[in-house]
Amino acid sequence: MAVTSGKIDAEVIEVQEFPELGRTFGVRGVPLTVINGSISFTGAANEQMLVEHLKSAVE
Amino acid sequence: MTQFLNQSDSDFVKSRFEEEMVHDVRLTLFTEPDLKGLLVPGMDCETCAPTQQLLEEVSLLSEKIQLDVVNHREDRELTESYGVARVPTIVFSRDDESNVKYLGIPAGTEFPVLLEAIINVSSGSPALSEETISFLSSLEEEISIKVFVTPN
Repeated sequence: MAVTSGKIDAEVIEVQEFPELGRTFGVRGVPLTVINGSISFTGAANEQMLVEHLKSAVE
Repeated sequence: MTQFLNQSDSDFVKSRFEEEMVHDVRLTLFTEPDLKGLLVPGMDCETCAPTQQLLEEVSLLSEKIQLDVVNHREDRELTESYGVARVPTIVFSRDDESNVKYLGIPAGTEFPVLLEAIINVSSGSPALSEETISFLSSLEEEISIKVFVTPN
């Protein structure tokens, strides 16, 4: 999605290497997706689900 | 150090790059210099050298991939301009667009993430539905997506 929109900044973080980021974002299971530092969900995200979360982030 | 990719992995990755890459992609690796086993307090990035080796192997599999290695301590201005605060970080760029990053080493079960990121940035056309593309093009504010993973 970040490839399609210049408005989206995407980061993949290997949490074992950066445990302090894991603590900051309350990572208890992976994969964990965090949008704008607040909305988060665990587990594989399909496209539609991710779009719904992005929509709630910009509302 | 042994190779990350064996011959059959390399052949597979090379053929995917040949079939699916369109534009040139630049991988900028922000890293620590390899101290060849020397221990210096505060400079203990265990995955920096392996990440550089992995990216060197991958970048040899397509002429469309350019690899830049940046010592984050020496080139602070560039490091900050990319918003990089930790090493190793890989920034994927096409032309002036660089909004995809990977923090850590994309090896093992995370290797497909590296592969797909290179191909998607290069082709500029990930497999997204028309509704999603329309929503993304309507975005007016910036959104940050972070995905936390662990390799198995």
